[in-house]
Amino acid sequence: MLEVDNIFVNYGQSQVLRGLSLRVDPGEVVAVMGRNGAGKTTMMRAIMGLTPARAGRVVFKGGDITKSPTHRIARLGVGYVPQGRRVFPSLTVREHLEVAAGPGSGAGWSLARVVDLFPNLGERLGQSGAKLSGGEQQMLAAGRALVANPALILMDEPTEGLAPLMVRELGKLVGALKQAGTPVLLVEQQLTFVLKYADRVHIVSKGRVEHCCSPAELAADADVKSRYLGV
Amino acid sequence: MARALAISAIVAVFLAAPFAAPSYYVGLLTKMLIYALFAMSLDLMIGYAGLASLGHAAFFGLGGYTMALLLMRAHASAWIAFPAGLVAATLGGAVFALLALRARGSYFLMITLALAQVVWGIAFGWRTLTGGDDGLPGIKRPVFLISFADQTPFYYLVATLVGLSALAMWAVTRSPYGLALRGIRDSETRMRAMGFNVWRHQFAAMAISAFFAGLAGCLFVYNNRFVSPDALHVVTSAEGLIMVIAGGAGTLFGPALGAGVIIFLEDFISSHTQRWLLVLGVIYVATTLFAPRGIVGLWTDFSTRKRKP
Repeated sequence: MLEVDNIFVNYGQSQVLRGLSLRVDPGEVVAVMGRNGAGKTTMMRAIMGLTPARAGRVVFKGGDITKSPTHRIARLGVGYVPQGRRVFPSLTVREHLEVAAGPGSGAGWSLARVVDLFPNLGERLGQSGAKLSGGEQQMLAAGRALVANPALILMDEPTEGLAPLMVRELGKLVGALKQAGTPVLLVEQQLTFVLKYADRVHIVSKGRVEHCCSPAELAADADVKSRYLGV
Repeated sequence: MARALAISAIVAVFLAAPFAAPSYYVGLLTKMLIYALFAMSLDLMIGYAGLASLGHAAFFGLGGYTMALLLMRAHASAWIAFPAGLVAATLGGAVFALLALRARGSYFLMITLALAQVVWGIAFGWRTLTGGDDGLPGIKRPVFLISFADQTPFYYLVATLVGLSALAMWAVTRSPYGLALRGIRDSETRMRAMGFNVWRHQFAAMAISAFFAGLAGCLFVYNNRFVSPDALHVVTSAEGLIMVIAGGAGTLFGPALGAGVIIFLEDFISSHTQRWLLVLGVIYVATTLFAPRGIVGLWTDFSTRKRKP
């Protein structure tokens, strides 16, 4: 489905990704963990073409998208839920979901189904995105990606700064995606969230994947946890 | 309901004006309507596409000059010259977009200013064609089936065209395309990540905006029966910008109101003093200090405060 092959990205002089590789197969939830500054968000941006890789390849559904413009990558079916719940202040909740909607991969996500999943949004359809709570903004950012019916969803730290109740709501979403067979590439810091939903875990450090394992193996491996995650 | 009433009241006032007001004020109202169209067209760029331009007079003048040149130099009929003015302005918008859309923010502002100065320079310098600083006098108002030479019929022509344009622009801003533009104004990157070709959306916004600015320019030339490089001057662009900001960017109605207020003040103050531009500067400073979201913003703040004490 998605193959990231040995990519290098730098911001000016500083090299952020140094030969990072990973793959996401159909129907899989792949988690990427690692300390702050390890390059997780940069990897997402490189896949989306927002910070294109200088070397290496990103292949999606068999096509090379390394140097494709961002909007084309999105059109091909890569949905992106950026870090920090970036909503549009001048659009209402309903407008967010309308402007983003599309048939996409035919997974059948619509405004109605998003509201079904996140009833909070349904009560605030006429409100500006800026007036929502942090958790609601995260739901909106996710809903906005969903209604385009992407073939693959990238989620960058969706649970960051959310109350436990909201984390559970988001878990419902990842669970629903998994059930529908939509693959997810999940960058996440919360170990319990990852252990619950991921099929495979990659640990990123210093711009490359240092370790790859199943959630069960990670849960049991105290050495890896303390070395790369600080838990 | 309240909105429908307000709109009907405004329409009624504009329809009745020639019967109630002295002809001088009908002329002033015509000018207000033309500038309202100009300001609304600029608002499409600033308030919706997020592109602040200091070169909008170029589209205004391109429309007006193209029409005037065809009328005076080629002796074309108004049926050809008027639409040709609109086409020229729209093409001008497309060319400006091609050259300026590589930059954003103040850089975009500077490029549009420079491009507009080029157009101004041509009108000013090419004396044999454009008459240079003397402009092109003696333009006759059009005959479209009936004659619009007199003030009252011309006023109705302007009011109708400006009204229809306002309706069309309102429809654009409410359409999915207008929604996407507002998203782009908030964040280009996010819209890109959602699969929107930002460049193409902004290109279209500039062309549409230039079309309506060109229409305002053609009506302006017909109204004055004269065009000079002043129509293309940076002061005209800046006035448009101030009308948008004073009225409230991103509301369409606000910039139209801003245009009306500023044209009225200009008329009123110019009859007392020569220092109109100084007063305009004070209005601009006062707006940015006390009403950064313009008259409309001030009004919404006021009415929401009243509702929840």
